[in-house]
Amino acid sequence: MHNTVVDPVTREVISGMLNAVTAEMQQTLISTSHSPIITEGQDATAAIFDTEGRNIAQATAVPVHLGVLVEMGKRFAAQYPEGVAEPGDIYVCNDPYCGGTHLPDIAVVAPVFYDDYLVGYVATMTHHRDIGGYAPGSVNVEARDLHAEGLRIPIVRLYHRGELNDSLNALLESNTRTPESLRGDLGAQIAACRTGLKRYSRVFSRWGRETIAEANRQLMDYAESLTRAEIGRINDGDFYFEDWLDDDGLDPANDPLKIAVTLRVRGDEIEFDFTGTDPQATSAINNVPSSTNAVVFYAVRLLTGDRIPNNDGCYRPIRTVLPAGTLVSANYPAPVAARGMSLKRIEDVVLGAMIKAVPEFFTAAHSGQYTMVTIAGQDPETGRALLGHIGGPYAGGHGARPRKDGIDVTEHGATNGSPIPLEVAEAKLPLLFRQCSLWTDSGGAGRNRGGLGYHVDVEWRGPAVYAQLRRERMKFKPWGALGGSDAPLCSTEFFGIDGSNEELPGKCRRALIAGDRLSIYTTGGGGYGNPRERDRIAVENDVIDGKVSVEAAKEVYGYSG
Amino acid sequence: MITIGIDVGGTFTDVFLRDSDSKHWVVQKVPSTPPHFEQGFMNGLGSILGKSGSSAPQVGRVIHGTTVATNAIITETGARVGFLMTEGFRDILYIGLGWRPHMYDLDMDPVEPLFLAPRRRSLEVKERTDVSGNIITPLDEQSLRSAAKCLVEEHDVEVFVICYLHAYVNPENERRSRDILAQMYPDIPVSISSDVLPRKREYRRLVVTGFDGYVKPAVTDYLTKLSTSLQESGINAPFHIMQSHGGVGGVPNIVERPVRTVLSGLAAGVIGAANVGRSSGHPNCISFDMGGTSTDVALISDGKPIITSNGSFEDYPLNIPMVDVRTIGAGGSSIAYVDEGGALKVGPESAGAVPGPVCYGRGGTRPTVTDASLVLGYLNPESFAGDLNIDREKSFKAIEEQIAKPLGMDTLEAALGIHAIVNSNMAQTLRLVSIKRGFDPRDFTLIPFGGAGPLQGGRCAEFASIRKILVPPAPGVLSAMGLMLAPIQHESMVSYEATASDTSVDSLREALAQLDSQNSARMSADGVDTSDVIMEYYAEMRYVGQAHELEIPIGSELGPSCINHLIQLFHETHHQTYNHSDPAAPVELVSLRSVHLSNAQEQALLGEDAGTAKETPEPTYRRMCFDKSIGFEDTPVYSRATLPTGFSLIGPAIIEQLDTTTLIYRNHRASVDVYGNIIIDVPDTE
Repeated sequence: MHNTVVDPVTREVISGMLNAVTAEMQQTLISTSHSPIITEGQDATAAIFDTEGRNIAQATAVPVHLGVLVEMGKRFAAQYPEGVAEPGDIYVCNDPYCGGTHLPDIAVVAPVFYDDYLVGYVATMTHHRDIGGYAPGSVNVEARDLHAEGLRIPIVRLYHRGELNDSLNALLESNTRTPESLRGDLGAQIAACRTGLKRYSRVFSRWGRETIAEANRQLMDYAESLTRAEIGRINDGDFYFEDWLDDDGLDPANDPLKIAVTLRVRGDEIEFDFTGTDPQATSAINNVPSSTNAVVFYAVRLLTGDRIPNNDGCYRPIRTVLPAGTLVSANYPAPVAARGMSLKRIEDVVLGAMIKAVPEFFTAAHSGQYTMVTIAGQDPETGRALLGHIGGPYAGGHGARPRKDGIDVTEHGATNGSPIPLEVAEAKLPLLFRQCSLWTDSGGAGRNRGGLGYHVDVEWRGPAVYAQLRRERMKFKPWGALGGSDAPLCSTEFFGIDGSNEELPGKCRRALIAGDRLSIYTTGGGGYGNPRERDRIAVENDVIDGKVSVEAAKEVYGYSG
Repeated sequence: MITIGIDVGGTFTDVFLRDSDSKHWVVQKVPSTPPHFEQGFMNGLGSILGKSGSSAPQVGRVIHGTTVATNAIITETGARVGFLMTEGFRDILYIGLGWRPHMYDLDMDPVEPLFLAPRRRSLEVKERTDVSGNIITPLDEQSLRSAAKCLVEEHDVEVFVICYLHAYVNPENERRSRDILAQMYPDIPVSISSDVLPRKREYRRLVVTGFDGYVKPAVTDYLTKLSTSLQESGINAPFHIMQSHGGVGGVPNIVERPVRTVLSGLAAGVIGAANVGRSSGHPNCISFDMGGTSTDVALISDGKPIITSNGSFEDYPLNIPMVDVRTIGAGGSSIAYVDEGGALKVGPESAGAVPGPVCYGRGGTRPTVTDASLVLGYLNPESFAGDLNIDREKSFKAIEEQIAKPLGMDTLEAALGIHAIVNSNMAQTLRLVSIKRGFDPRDFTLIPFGGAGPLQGGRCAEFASIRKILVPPAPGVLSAMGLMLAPIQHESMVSYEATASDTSVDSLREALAQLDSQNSARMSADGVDTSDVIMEYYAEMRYVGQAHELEIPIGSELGPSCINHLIQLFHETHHQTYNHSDPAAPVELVSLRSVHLSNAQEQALLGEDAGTAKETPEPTYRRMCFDKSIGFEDTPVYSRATLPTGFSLIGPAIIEQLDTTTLIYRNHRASVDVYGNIIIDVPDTE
């Protein structure tokens, strides 16, 4: 088997086919899902693993899925290796402490056979709408441990030789508030895996096991060598960066919470050491290693771009040090459902360290949070659950870049959800948007300006419900770089139908009745370089377009018209 | 009667003339004349009349495929647009999509078409309609007037674009606004979202409406000029323009919603392929138009191109009905290179027409797919590139130096490798395009055309498990021919949100009748007799909770069982498309579409004067390489014009004609059918 020679042409052709297999799986997954979070948010990924569970190819729409299945792939391979796995099997798992991320992310995996041999696995992971637990949607911050967050599924066999395990299936469906969604989305994942099975075994029938194994080995080496080449361009050194989370939403004694990283570049290897990060939180803003690693993998992939295959080789030159019991690697049974918020801060410190190492390539801080306002309640007339995001944009502005301004209101960093259009949001929940616009002066000033954030004003028009707010960057601003200014803080204001008016904290649960309004300001990105060096015409255009106020132009940019 | 199809592309203007009395057809190619495309158009017209010995008064109809709207968007040279938006929502364009198609590119530009208008030209109007269509804030005419005044007086806008929230469900405020603007500024055109694209999702609706306004002055101006020129040259015949959905329409209809011509040129090729396929017994095909920098692929099912209402153009959502074309960044001028990790890559970077492949000698230094074809002997250096002096040595050296040596390969092996990679990558896309629609590529015939299509098509088909290839008689002017075959066609759409099981046939009928009356007006404006109109109805449907819709045809009789039938058909289509369905799950309707088309157009053009050659053709021979273990071998080269009907051969062989080279790969069997098509049977290699 080791003597097989694969020429560069065959290798490239096989590489293209592997990408096509995951692309077909991803396509099937996204188009067959029932939940908007997958069909519109594209919170889904598809991958192929070899028999050892190493990632051979992966299609992602969201960087935070990068390498997420890397850990899980190895666990699946260990539990269902050659001799144990059988054709027609389908396995599922959502356990964050078994390579998962948080409970709503369920992985579905199928072993692939060719010529009666196990030749690898195909896998999909998507975010499900609800997996039980005390809060609808299963992503609340307030859980005290994992078991309060929902159903924990270890690696189990959902289908055995093509036969559905009815008992397990009944157990799954009875542990969600939205069984139709779970059924539909698991169905979509299974359909995607079956597509992958068919396609991947076709690749084998064309070249045979030895050639594919060798090509896979070479493709991993190839991805590794390109990644090493990019890391090798960075000057050796240690680069420390820290940033803060406002609060954990439960225990003020813990506030604020620090995330710290030391980036060590040595030749063509890179290490991210999170020593110095605060202990794990009481609330559900903790991360498990696969979440933290995904952000690190993302940062390194920014160097290489998506021209290289997305496989295990990309990760070999990267080492992470994740002290146990901290925000970046919590110990069981710490709750992890609302990891999204701290993920953005992990992203900030990782990119903050990177910009110290490569200032001509990386950016000032992005807005560093996404606005997630969830409605939970019940329609008293129909008895149906009222559940969902309010819609509109999630992310604020991009950090300014060495050569360009930041982009306004666009997903950044390791997340890439597709916002729910306002017209769709108003159809899904009884609410009415009063405003959704760019927020003047919310981009950090600089030679290159940070992208703008936004202001949403939304009125609730339904029965009494709770709004769940999970916001960040209410106390610590997105930082500017190389002399650029910080972007402003986020804020939320509540306007009651009764005329009351108050500032809301970042994380809270707030009762809403018809006529109440939320006014939400989501910040932009930090600036890059000294604002006084900004091109005059650019400042003038910003003023005419209302992106920068006349006062700010004068005071911050020194623009006198 | 003489019918003339004129397809104006960026480089060439292709003309196809057919005399329905003598049954003869003539083709002509003249250079395009950007930016004044109307000159090339008239040159082509004059030239073909001369070539065919016809005169202007004999011309009964002229059909045109245009890229004027396409170019205005690509080159960002459309009109100065001013947006009028619901109060509080001026930023729908600038907030935009909200996510990134390119996640690992820190230098990316915003993905929204921000060139439509800077934020200063997006103003707000006090008005608001809710999700059910209730007007909760009546239109404040004063705020409209002052916004319009500001746009005109301070920003010199040339077009108004109106996109109010929920206008797709209740267009009243948009229509009222349009009427007021028409009074205020009768010379400034207006595009309103409820006319252009009455569908939910404000950003997508805005982009399409914005494009409509953006291209309106250019398209109107261009078509008016052409109409005048035609009349001045003595042609008083109907003048029809190809639309993105593959049907044609008269100038007054087109300038009303000009965004529908953005894919005019592309659609003509697909219609041409569909007709060639259908009329020669290949109703399911894939049109494969491979040019220098890119390849356009479209699916044709049951003789009709697949139409999508969820397509895109240049990465911008363009959710109006259009032929579902997927563009692949690979063509004859795609550049081959060895990357720093030692992998051989082909494209997406292209040498384009200038400098072009190395062999053109116009300054290109990096080897392309065409250079590989030349090195392998597939292309005739004397003829394939017209008047250019082709230098095969240069191609050989470039591949040797830049590909073969770094990879430690033989130069021929490297050239074969370039072909293998580009063909395999295109084959993967062919597959993706098919499976996305739930089709098995094995059931389809590949129709390659364009400069490089018939050369690469054989191997692409093989890699994509496609078993049949059809090379039409005049692959270089298939688009111009397609124009002749397209029906006069208009469509309109309405948002129709209802749970399928609660829908009554009466309300469905009523909604469709309204669409019908809009379409009837358009058809009669184009001179189509009511009795010649075929009506088709479609519903966009999905499972409750899904965000992706499928378009399901509604039977035209609209009987009492039609809703149940529709639901049934939805489940089946969903299963066919996605491999699963859920017959117990509730289904909802999202929108309705009515299509009116004429059935009185030219039908099969083929079979009429095909196969004039009678004798057994004599090939010449050229040295070519298909297989590194064999190396160069003497390979027969046929001239296409000499091939009689029924002639067949087993590859390897080359068939040459004026602007196309068809490559028959080893063990592929080619034969000439009664219509003059070359049909290639691809062996099953799996």
